[in-house]
Amino acid sequence: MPLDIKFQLNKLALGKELTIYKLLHDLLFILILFFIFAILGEGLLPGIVSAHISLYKILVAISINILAIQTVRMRFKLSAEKSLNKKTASLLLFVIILLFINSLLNLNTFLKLIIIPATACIFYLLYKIVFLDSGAD
Amino acid sequence: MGFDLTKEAVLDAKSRRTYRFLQAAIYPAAILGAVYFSYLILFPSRTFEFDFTSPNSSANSIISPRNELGIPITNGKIEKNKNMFFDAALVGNFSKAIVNFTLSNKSDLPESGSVEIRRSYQAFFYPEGEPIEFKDKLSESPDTFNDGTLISYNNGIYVVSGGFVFPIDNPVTFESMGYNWNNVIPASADEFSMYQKGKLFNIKAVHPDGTIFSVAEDGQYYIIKGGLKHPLLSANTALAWMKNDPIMVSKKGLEISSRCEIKKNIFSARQYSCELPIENLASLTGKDYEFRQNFSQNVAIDSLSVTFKKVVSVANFKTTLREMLIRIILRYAPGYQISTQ
Repeated sequence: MPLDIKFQLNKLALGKELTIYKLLHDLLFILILFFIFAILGEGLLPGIVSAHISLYKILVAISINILAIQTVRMRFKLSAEKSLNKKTASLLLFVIILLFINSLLNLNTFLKLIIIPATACIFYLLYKIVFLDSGAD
Repeated sequence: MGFDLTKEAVLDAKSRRTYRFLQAAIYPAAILGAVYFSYLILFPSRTFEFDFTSPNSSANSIISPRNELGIPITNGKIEKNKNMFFDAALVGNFSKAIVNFTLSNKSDLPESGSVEIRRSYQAFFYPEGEPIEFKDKLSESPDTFNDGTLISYNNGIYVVSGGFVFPIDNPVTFESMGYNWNNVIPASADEFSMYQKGKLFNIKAVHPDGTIFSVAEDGQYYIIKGGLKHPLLSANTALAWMKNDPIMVSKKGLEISSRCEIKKNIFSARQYSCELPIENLASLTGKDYEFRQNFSQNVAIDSLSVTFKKVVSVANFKTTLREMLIRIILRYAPGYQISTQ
């Protein structure tokens, strides 16, 4: 789970809705895991997953899930204090780097020389935004 | 305490029981889904289609439905007791091929019909032409490559034929055509500029003119020219033609076949199917499966599809893993020689 969300519940008795909320997180976890494996498989052997299911469909499912979580959260005024799990974030970063290196395969050397510094800048900015500005531990 | 991603969201006892029950259903369902998905990947099926109502559609993956004379069939009409041929190109070995077709509303309904399948290369299925005894050296330009030569330029690999260079789309296509990486000749910019660039050479492509086949069983050589395969009368003639290693083929590819009788679909009066066991074709080389279909009545087909399937078995599991490994090696180290044993 990339984000460890700490809740301060404004309502005590949420019953069914809170159960749904928790189940949506489980579903999100499953979908993200499935997406990571799918994208790794696609990187290694293009077409191995997309021949059966389009990756955009998994992304749509993840988006709907996140939207549903957000809707429940807003409806019941659940405030979430976000903190990053550094272990998970590092693991995801490692996966992203692997996919990035894989995408450079068979690419023109000159193009690589442009893409690599540009990507490094984007990653640095993302790092600043996500890790430093959030004030996470 | 079980697995909980939102520990801070505390449930009352009754809701917690409900949550645990539903959670216990979601995760096994996800695992089952993953197992099913693995099954789809490890025991894959491939479907090829042709829609005779839009014969020029790019979605048509079945290769050139044609009659006995090689004339394309675009309207789906097949005369009584005449054959329709078509091909499907794919990598790997499968257990069965299921042919499905739907007849048009105006078509007669056939009482019987059959489908036959063979495996080799499309060009090797060509009819045999006049034998060639000698090579005409005078017609050959010293500055150009022979037809059928493999050349590399920039990051691409091309096959030369008839004044064109055809770019090969990926290493899988290269391997599936039976080509050898050691035969690729680097071309200079000057040499490359002497040719026009032809269309992309993908797995559906036919070996071009100038390709030489060598029959494994008797060492006979054939050269492809103008839609015919011409026997080369002696090994010396073959050597004069050859700049590459020949494409190895098996005569059994022309002899061994599998056959099935068509059956009417229970749920639809105009849908028919036929299941061909093709495990006996697994030992043969060639990416192309040639189908021959005939009926006891004049028929008009609207749509045609072929599905190749693998049955669940340890042997197929091992084969798929091996094929995956080969594809990975081809992707990351295209020139690496892979043992086929």
